[in-house]
Amino acid sequence: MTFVRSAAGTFSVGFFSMFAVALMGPGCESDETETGDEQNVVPTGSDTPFELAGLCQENIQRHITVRPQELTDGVVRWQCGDRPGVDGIDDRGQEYCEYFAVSNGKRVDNFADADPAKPLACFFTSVYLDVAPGTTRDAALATALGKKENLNAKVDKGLVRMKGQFNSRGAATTLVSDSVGVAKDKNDERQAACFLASIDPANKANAEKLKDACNGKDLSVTSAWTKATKLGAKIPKTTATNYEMYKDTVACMSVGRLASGGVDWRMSDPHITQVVVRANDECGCTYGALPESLEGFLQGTWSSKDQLPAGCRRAKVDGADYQQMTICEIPAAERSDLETSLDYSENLQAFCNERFGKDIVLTAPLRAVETKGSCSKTTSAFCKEFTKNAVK
Amino acid sequence: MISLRASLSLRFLLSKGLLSLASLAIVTALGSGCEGETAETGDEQNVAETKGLFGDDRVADVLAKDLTKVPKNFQEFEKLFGVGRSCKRTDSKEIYVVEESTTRATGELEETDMLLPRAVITGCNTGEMNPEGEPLYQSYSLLTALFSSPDVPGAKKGDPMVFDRVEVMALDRVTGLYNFYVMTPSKDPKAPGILQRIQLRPDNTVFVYTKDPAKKTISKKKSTDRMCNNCHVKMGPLMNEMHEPWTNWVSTHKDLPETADGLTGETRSIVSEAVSIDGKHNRLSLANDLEKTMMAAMRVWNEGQLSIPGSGFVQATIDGDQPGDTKGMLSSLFCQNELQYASAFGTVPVELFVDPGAVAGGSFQPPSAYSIDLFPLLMPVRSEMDKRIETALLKKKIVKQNTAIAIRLVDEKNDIFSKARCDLYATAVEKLPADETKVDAHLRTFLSDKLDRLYGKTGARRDYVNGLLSDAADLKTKRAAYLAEMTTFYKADVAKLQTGEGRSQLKARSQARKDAARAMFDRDANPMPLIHDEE
Repeated sequence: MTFVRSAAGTFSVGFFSMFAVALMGPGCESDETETGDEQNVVPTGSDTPFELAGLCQENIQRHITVRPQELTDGVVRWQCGDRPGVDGIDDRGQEYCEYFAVSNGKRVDNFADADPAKPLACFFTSVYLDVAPGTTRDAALATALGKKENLNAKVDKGLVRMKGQFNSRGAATTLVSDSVGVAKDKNDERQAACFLASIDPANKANAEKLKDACNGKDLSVTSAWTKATKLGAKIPKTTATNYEMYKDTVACMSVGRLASGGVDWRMSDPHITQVVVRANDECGCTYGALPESLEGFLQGTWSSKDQLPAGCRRAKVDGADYQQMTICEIPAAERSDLETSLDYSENLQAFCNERFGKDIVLTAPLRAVETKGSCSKTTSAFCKEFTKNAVK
Repeated sequence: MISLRASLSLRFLLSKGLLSLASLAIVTALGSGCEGETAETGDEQNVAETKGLFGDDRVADVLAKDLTKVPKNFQEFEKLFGVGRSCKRTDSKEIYVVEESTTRATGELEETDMLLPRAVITGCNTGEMNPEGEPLYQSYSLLTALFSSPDVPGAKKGDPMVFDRVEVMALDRVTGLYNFYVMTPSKDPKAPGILQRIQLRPDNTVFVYTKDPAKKTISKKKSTDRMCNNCHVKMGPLMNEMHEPWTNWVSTHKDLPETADGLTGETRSIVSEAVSIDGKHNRLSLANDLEKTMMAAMRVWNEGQLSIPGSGFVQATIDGDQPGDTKGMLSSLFCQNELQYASAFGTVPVELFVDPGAVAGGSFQPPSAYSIDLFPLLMPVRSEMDKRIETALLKKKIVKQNTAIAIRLVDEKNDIFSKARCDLYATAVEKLPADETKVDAHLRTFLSDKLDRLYGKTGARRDYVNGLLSDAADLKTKRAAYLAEMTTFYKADVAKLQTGEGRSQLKARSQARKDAARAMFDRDANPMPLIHDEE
């Protein structure tokens, strides 16, 4: 079975809804379906390359401070918690990470359903949907999770493994392999340049004109591009201050052209694509499939892959910290907050996202699947950083 | 202080000869930390009465028994307390930095062309929790602020931070309030530093205890200005830009500016802990994490610790140990006492369209920003402080949740600066029962007497309010009907982001809030960040 990262459906809220989100959250959706690939409640994606450039620029800016560490370590990182509007009863998470509240070993969505005598925790799993054939691994992990040092209750094995088909090892491998060798696109390159010009404060007066000149237009056509350049759009030179942002944006936009698809409004897909495309295109890096030994992307924090947010702990499996399952116990004082919150008392998953999910950071260890010696080009500034610790 | 908006500036203090009194905020109840202070007629206390100088907190732990250890500067402080660069954590030193180019060196907020970073240093969380199992206890139990001045000797060479003035907030284990301390050098460079504790009294006066190593006694003087009370309105912790995108703070979204490479000396060393300037280490201190610490700090300060009944600001106020009373705290439900500042990043703050408190339970999501015209920037919104006070009143069952929502519904589109809602406050608390168990009924009667005027005679909102104030069995149905109506309104209002005319309308809303905020804090020393008009 091939898993891919595409979304089944989206809805639009506006013509120019960059990284748009659903206006209403999913708190009142119907019963949970555990089968997995429905994505009825999702933010909107881009309709045009110009809009895609906007989504990408925002996503790059979202991770801008950790970019140097990512390049040096050869990893890609993003937050577990979804964008607003994604989490909900029908959707446990779409960023290679799923999460929900647990009480007495069971998922709870309403505070009223939590056992008042038992701890209430947020549980985060990044165990791939396709972690292993059959359910043996699920049973083992569920048994471990039920132990005293973890949830201290009988745990349904259905809670352990992620449910979204997009949250699979196969989908991640496909995303990476699709990003290797993806063809360049002149229109995308020019759309990125046009978008960046439109948000440049120095070009403020022409922002709307640039949008009109580029959005929905084919900028590979000389006349269209000429019109944009007269308004201030230009392909940055390597010495320009926005060169790296431009290159990152163009690479990220490849997510819209991947053979098996990628979802542009997510944080993981465009970010992984961005790094892999540049690593391959500029540095020559190639990548193999994610190994079966990797049961899911690793959970950590922005400052360290080895740490977790305060109040969270790794589940112990076979006596050792397991990096794909995290338990964040909700302290008594915050638990009583939930009673007085209409927003969270009937949507504990949203609480888990807000309280912990944004600070639990997934790490895709690209370097671990890098083809030995493939990162052979080191001339560009990007490659100088990225290949510093490449697999020789 | 922790707002990074020190209420008084270095030069201002110098000019008034008040440098040692400083810009700190102040809080503590008259709990155990203030025993022996009942005789307030004199300016001097016996040195043995150190309980006046200290609360029961991490500062007292280290200094109460040995005043010769009082640090003279931040460098000594961080070593002594194991925080900042001496924090044992390897992933973060908990030094959070906000990029500033403003100074209050003349007493007023002024823009400069210099990089004048400020920093908050939290208490170094190595995993030890308090009895309640609060995971962030170590971080929020000791908060320190550093600011920059263009007038310090090294400023022009890129080292503008002020290190010989250590401003500290330490959480009192007994009162649950923050004790405020300032440590500065004494005249004798070989002597320990001068330690001050600044305290707000129940009668709303501010007192300053000072222990100068050159003197045998502790002086206690009434402050003639409001000092940090000008900024810390309730004397609790503040963080103006508390939520994503944490405007101007170093966060995942915002790296240091290129000009940070021009920083030198100790300023560079401190700033480089937020994110490495030269890439020599991977430690990070991001506002993403500070948000969680400050949220916890605000909760604990308001509500106290579960294991200590009677602790926390709200109970202290009810008990008369802090200025004000229940009546005063109810202003947080109707009006605004402090402000937070929200900005667009990927999305636009919901508060630009509706009061989130009015549509609670509707899961209204922030709409996407119009990328080529990002706004608002630092738009005033309802403060975490007012929200936390409301929550505390709910938890203490002084006010019921349905009543609080009904109050928000008086003006469903404005979370702050609502004339309709705030004008009700004075009459709503007239003849407020002294018996706290009767406060909610009093408020419900007050609202019920004005239903037609406040909510209209018919409609979904009126039905919802009727249900709220009568605790109707079909409240969920009424809420759903109201939220459905508001969803329609919300979608239409959000659509304004897509047109130039619509954006102008929305910007005008944000601008009106900014103007109101300036009017609210129309004084030299105030907690506002530098906010620019909407374009």
